[in-house]
Amino acid sequence: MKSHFHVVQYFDSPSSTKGRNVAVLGFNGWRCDYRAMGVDGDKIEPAYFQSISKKTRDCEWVYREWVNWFDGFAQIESTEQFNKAVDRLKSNKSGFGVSEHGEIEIIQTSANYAAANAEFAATMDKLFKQYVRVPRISPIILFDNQVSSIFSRSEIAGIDGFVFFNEPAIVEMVSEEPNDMVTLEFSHLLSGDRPIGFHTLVLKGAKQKSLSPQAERIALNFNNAVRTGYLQRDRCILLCDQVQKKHRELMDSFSGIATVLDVFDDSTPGRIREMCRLP
Amino acid sequence: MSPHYKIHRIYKKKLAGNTAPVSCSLDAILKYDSLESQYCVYSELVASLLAQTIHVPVAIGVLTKIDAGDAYASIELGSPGLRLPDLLKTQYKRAATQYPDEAAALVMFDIFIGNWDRGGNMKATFVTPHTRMFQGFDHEHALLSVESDPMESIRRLSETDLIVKDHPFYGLLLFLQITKWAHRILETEDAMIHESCEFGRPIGTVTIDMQEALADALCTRKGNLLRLLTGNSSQIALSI
Repeated sequence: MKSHFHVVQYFDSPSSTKGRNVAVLGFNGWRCDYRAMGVDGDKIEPAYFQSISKKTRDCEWVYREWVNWFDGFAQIESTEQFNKAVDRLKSNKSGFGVSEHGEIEIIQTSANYAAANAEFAATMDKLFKQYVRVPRISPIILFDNQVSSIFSRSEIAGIDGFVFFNEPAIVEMVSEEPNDMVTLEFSHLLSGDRPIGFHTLVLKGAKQKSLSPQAERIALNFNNAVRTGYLQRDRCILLCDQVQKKHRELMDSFSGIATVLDVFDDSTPGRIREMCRLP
Repeated sequence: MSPHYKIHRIYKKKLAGNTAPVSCSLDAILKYDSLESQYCVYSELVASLLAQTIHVPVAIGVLTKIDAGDAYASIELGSPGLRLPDLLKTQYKRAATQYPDEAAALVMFDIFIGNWDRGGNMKATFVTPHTRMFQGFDHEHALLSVESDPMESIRRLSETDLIVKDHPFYGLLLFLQITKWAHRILETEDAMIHESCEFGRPIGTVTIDMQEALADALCTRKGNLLRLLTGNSSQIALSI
């Protein structure tokens, strides 16, 4: 029995001649299967795909949809449907496509159904390892995805009494004195009676030289927010990744200015909920 | 004593210059007439205008020019780096469940324009929270291309022929869900159908006379839709 395999490549434009291998699709005559970058069982990590090119950086949600498509592909049980799915990928000139003449055929030797499926799965693993180089994840992408995830998991969007800005927000504060306006800027904001202001700082992979001015700007913003009465001190939140020894001094400078939360700490969504007094 | 401040305003940080015209580029699929598909541009354009008139979810596109003449650019759905995948047969049921109204609209629209080639020419989001996207695309085998001869296509559209013998959503939607869209099309004024089909100039090889004849055929067909639906309900709708 012959099994058929195709390598799915990513092309960032129709004029790209060289694609980046991202997945392997296979069909053994009665079932389809796939292996894709960043997919391990039910766990999906789109950050690998997002890290392969500048153009894929904002593609997290579309990649998740493609993984869902791969799952749909794995439910195909007929040669006709397998060929139709592959033909559509062959016609793609950008994004995900497969080569017109890139089919790999392997003769499977197992006699019974269970053994043949196991052999098929092992071949899929082997081909994926052979053809798809999994890139190093960009720390910034991983951080951004994690920030989205903690806000989603904390379920603070749409709660009574607050408006959640899941993107950079500006607050303009004016005093009784003429011409005195203070502009506050946050990476995320939960406005309301007792607002919470957020800033983000990616430590991993950043140079100390670039971190210092960022930290100074964030501290100034939080201090101005407290001085103008917009935020209470305990509602100034700095979201960062794991603090390493070399960052200790820099992070100590936020003592008394902001509460520092690690976005990779599982308790962080809960702590944000707590601040909103959600059960 | 420090001055007392109050909130002047709170707003999303905006990109500079977004109130002024900003150049951008969008990914699109460019379609043009060829020997294999001689009325592709016209069919795509008319399908798009009719869908917009009736509010059927199909990909948005624009008429544009290339060296060979008119072309149709169908805007891609997705992120700039990666478009959404086309639906697989294994996903049709989920699409009908998650997007019943959109799917019903597409069924009735395809019957209306004689699009016998819907197949997997659809895109949808299934796992992106708060982002509902569902679109049909590719109508080059509809309207004047129902048959290889455009006049024969017009004749078939004006008769009581279902044309669409097979559709991804046949048997997956309730009769009432689909009937709603038959009524929507039936209530569309003839003048709007004519405006969607007639351009006052030839588009590729599609003459003004052909455009008028197609509009007349579609006005007749909309009056036949309920009869077509009722007569083929066991094939089209979900049997309970």
